[in-house]
Amino acid sequence: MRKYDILSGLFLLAVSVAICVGSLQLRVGTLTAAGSGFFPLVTGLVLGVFSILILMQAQKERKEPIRFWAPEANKKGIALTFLFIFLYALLLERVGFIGTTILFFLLVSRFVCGHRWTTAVFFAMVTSFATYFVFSVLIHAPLPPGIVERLF
Amino acid sequence: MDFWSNIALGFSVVSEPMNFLLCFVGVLLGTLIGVLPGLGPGPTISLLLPLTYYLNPVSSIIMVAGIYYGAKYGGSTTSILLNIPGEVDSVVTCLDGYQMALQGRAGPALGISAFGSFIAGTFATLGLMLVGPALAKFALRFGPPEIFSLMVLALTLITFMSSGSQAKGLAMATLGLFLGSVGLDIFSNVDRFVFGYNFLFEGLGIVPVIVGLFGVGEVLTNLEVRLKTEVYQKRVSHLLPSLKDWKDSAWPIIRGTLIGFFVGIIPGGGGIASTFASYTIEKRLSKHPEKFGTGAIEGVAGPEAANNACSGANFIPLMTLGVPTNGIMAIIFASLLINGLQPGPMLIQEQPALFWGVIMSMYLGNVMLIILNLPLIGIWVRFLTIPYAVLAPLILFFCLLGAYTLKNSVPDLIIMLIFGIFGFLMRKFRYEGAPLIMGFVISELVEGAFIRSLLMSSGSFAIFFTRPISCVLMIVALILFILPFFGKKPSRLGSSDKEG
Repeated sequence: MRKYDILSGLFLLAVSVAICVGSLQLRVGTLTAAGSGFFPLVTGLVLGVFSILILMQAQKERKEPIRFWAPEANKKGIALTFLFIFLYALLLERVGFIGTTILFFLLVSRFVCGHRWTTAVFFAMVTSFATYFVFSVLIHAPLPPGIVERLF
Repeated sequence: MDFWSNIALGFSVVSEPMNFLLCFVGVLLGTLIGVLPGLGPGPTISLLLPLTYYLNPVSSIIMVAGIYYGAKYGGSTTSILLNIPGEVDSVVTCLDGYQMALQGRAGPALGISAFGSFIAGTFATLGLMLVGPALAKFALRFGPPEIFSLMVLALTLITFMSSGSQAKGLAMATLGLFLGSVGLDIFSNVDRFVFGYNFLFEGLGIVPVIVGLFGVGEVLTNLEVRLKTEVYQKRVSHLLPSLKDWKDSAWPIIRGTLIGFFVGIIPGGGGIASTFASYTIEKRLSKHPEKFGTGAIEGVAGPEAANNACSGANFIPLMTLGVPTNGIMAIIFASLLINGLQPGPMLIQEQPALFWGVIMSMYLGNVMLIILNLPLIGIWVRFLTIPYAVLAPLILFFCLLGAYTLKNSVPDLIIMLIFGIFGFLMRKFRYEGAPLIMGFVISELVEGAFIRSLLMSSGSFAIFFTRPISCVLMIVALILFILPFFGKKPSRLGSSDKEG
């Protein structure tokens, strides 16, 4: 873990510096009249102390060969999942809830989980229509409308 | 109102059809997710957070509590039948439970686990009912310095009791405190770290952050290793333990209940800490310690009782002091906030229907759980055949739905995605999510108490050490902070949330 602890310690140290710099651009104030930057500055400083502690502890650790990915890791599936979530966010209010959900289910079921097309289509249709019914009809939670929703 | 009037109030709340139904839905969902490996109570409750917004606060907390303690019951099923803990606190149950199943005694193992859980859960609820109001009354004496010190202690304890490095845990808690401060400053109404994005004025949403860290992060971790579900094909029969089983299990259940209850009250005292403690004590007290690990029923009864007593006791600090004891309690804390309620000593006075209604729902839920987990065990065994490849798209979709529907905000989906990636990397770099979530949800409270304390003391930090309660809390926090540097940190404990 030594290498990973050093990497993560450095990352957190960079975050703490960024927080401190950002806080100082706000009004920090005094101990008796704290400004809006006071509390974030304190958290930034404390985070800096802990990240240095992580780095110090990492220096004491033995070098062990640890792999980031598990053997036969499904890296493609993970990358595609990120992409499909991003795509969902991008299309939801443009295409509408049902259309985007069907597309999301099709893509995840087929390309991440490896289901057959027929299974993927079945899941996509059932889940998106059932959820739309529950949210829109039963609990009246507004979901973004699209072409399919206008048919109802 | 006196004690009996409060109990009557609690019963009237829980006997309302909607609350009764949601208590059942909660324990049913809890059992289901407890049975299904790869889906824990943390992600499930976080996925349901937006739904709780549409329910009344009492009903939603009754349901959420049911999911939490229901998952504890269900978690033992896969531990016993498949040697896979349905949720992380049931790891210890695998040791002897699975061995009993291999010897054809899966029935008594499941039976004693359910009865032990019922006894412990009922006792913990009784404890909550008796200890809760007294503790809340005591906590009313707390001013800003005591609240701040208590929060510092809670954050130190949760990182002290966790399985990983304390420095990493505290770094995550501090990062959580910072993330919670993003948005409009509560004192000056000035925006902080919003970078011109209007959606950040209200701060980072609790739901997208929690759903991303726990839900998406967990799915990605499971997807990496393509979690395969082993299919259990044997029939489970003879669920009622024999007289000898009861004789062997009675004291372990009593001891487990007490251990679980006291561990559960301590912030950071997760179910796994209580189950390991119970198992170790039972092994040490046994006349036949060599039988442990080969199918000793005491090794199932004690830890299962401890686990369930712990889950009930976890509600005591949350409801009375406003301190979430672990990651899941932090999510329940968030659900109270979403419903406009502030957990803490005033909650019992201001919301008696909520406090007493939830307590009474726990009694009811425990009865429902024993019915669900004994006669209907065959149905739960069938759920073990659902492959993760079917669950993963559903969980991901509910994450998206949960993050979006609370505010109908697309940026919340992006925040969820960012925290999903962050949660995945945290697991890889061995950082725990619970301290971050805890820091995040109590950030506003900590900032308010900190600044008010400094105002009271004209800027002197000595105020945290000159007031007796605050001083004791701070000293304990400091001791816990220093101990790991002398090699005194518990080595095999963990917070009770399931983080994959």
